[in-house]
Amino acid sequence: MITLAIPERSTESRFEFVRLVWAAIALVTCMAPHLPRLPVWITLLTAACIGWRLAAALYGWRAPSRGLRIVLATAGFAGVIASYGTINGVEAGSALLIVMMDMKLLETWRRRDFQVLMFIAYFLILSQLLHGPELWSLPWMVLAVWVTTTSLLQAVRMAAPLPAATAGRLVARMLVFALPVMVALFILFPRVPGPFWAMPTRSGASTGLSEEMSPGAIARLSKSNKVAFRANFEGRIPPPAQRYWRGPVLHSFDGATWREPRPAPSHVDRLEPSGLPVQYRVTLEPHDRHWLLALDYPEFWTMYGAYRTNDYQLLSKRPVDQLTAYDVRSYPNAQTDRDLAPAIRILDLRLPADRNPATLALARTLRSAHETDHKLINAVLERFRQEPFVYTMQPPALRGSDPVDEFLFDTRRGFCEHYASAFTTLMRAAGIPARIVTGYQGGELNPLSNRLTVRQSDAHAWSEVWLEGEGWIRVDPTAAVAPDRIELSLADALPYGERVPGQFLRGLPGLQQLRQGWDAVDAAWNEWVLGYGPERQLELLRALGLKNPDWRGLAVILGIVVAVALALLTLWLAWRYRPPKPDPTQLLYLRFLGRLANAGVQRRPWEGPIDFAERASRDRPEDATAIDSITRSYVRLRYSEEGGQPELARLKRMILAYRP
Amino acid sequence: MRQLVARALHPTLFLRDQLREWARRRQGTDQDPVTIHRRRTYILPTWLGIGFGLLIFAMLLASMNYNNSMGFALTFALAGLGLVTMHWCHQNMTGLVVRGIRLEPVFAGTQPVLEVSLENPSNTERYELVVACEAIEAAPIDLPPGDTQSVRVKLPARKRGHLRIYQVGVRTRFPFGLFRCWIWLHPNLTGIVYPAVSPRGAEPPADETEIEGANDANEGAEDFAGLRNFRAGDSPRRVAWKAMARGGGELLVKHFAGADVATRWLSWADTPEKDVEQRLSRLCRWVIDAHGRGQAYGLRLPGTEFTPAVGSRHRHRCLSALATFPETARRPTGGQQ
Repeated sequence: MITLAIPERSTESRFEFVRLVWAAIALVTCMAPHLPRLPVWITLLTAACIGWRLAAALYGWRAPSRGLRIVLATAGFAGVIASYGTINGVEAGSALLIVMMDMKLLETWRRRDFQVLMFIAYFLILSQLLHGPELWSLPWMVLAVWVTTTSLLQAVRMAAPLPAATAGRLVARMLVFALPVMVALFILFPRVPGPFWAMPTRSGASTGLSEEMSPGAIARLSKSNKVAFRANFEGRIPPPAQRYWRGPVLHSFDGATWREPRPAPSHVDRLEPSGLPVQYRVTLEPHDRHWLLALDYPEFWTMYGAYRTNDYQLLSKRPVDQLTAYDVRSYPNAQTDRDLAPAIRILDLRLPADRNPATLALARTLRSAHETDHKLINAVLERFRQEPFVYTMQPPALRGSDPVDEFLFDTRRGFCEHYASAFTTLMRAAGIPARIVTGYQGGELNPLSNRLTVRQSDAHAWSEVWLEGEGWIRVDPTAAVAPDRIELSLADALPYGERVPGQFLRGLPGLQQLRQGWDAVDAAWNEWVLGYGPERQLELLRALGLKNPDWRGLAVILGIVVAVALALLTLWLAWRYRPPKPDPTQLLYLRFLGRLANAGVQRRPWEGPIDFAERASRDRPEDATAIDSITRSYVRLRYSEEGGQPELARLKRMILAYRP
Repeated sequence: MRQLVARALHPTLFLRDQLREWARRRQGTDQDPVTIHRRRTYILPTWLGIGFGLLIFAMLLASMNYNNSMGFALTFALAGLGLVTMHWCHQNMTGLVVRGIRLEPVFAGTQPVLEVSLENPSNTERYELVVACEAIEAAPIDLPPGDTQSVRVKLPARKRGHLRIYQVGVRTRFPFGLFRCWIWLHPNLTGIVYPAVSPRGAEPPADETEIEGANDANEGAEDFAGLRNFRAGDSPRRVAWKAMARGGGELLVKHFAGADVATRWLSWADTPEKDVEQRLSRLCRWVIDAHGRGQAYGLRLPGTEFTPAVGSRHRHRCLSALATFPETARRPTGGQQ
């Protein structure tokens, strides 16, 4: 009969098993949020390695041979490269880290190996945070640091591992004291802007706008209920009809798809601010592209290295792969290019001659019928309004090589990109420089936080035409078909029966409050924690009353705060490690000893009370009676069951009366 | 000598010796007991601690590069934890009471044991305290509140003679081994290493003489006077084994009151060996045997003489004289008559 008996184990191997279990718990905690992103084979490998290692400790198996470990490590490395194509960047880096951790686990036998393992675990926490700093990651981080640190405590212990509760409590106390230091460092540690070395961005395809737009692209994007960015206004909030958030501007058209021009637009632009500005702060969710969303037309912004292109986009120096916050001042009524640069005129008039022939013909007809550009534009918009055009999220697919013709004369059902595309094509064909602007329109104003939340479902596309003497003018053909889209929201503009994601939830009254409350919390988290950067830091110091805050001021304040926190810790520790209060008998006896010491008779460390009393009586025969009765009373109180309150009172009387 | 030179030329060892000397001059000799004041605790990061610092630095760079606030939060939390750990490690040592540092006499060839008692007078447990002496570390101990524990450090075996302990260290790397906090104690402590004991062999010549009054200050071996508890140094011959078996395991010793004992002289001149060390070893054996039999004995060495007596104190006196006997003694021809 075969039985699976757990062998008797030595004390040392039992300790090792406890250490291993702790390490396994820490590694699993740190790894858990990585799991959904990892290839399955890494998850399986990790499970196998942890399981094997625990079994090895339980049954006393030996470590795998060096050769086998090298083969496994090489295979793991190759696997990561095969899965990701690189070992660079946060995602491939974390995968490699986990594979390395698995390999380390196989050879973890000594104390030092456990320490290395825990250091890897700390890095796993970091890589998860770099990947996705959502609100839940804060409690997860605290938990993971706590478990990992407790595991480290057990790993470095030379004697038997501490009981789990004791170890956990100890580490929790330490973390409580580390918290003020962390907060001080977080707020005051000088933040140096910008990346030091180029890192590949996240490979995950995130939802958001794109460099190109073909029919149906924005409609697809609008199905996502994800937050794109939030805006917090200072002073007046522009009305819904003015909430056009500018994203990529598309110039090149091949008959179906609009694209950003190559090379990218230059920095040079001519903008003359006029009218009332709008001041706001944008907290932009990462989208892995360069553009920063801003209201038309951004004039001032606080973002290191960001610049404005000649088509008024705001671009950041590196892809936005972290939550990013920036302040912008926009002038909605600013005067744009008075004269159009020839290169741009050519770019924004270009049309493929052989595509969409019916549209080109229509444009020629309209051009000859209307003498001014204004009249021409109005005629096109009127056409959208009068004829049976339908605004819908589910437009029929345009399969032909002339999609604009198909839309204008055949299906007549479309989303914003269909209208913008058709309108811009008509304008160009009629000789008016025109381009497509994509971005977001509208947003939901949260009354609790007074913030505007803009979601992917608010994605929009519109047109811009250049008119002599006026500059670039925004024309939104969607507004002609579905005015409610602009004035209210997407849900209000859609025909009956079509739904925007999340619309059902938005309709429930109680849930509406809850949702907005959560939204406010999330927005505050984004703005105050994730978006905290160099600008915020200087703002805070100015608010604290510093005239010209710089890094030196920061360092001084930081030093003071950390010193105070550590001084408090020292005090608390000294209090915690204080000796217990002596009992009243002991206190009285100590006083008696003090008096004798003053009189020249000192108790030696090795003398018991009776021995000492004998010697003291010999040295001071005149006090012999008093010394004897005090000592006897003390011994009775301290070493026998007799005594009690009356005896204590007697001892007190005697000692107070005793003056050598 | 060569070792001394090598030590002086070795950069880290030299520096460490200098530091120790400095600490010794600064603190002076310690009385018993010593309460560890924070002024005499030293603390430095360990290699693991330096590694932890590098880890934090790497995390800081990554957080800056990605401009990631949560990354900063983690980095600073670990940095804060490191600083807290440093204070915790320091406090784990401060206030500790070290008492009763002593060295039991041993025979050459066996390992002297340094005994140190550590007392935790606080309300809170202290962890991972390690006593070290001459680069030898004892097993770490945890001290619950108010507890005292004795730690034994086995030192390397020595030649006979005085054994001077210059420095005793107490260390801790609690909680995470990122910092090492230590103290140096300089007790006024000299132990003694008796000569190595010869194997049983030549017996001392049987020139027994009756010498009156040769007795232990306290006890004789004449008239049975009762039983008392065993004390260190009592001859096993006097242990009342039967009484012990009856009395439930406590070691009892027969107590005699009396005056005259049969005595014997153990003399340098009578040893069969001619080499100084071998002679001392032989005398050592004789002393032990005589003590073990409960006999009174005297010791004659060139230049010194111990009149016959019994008891552990006498034994210690005789063995110490053997231990400190000069290596190059003049060769007395017939011993001292």
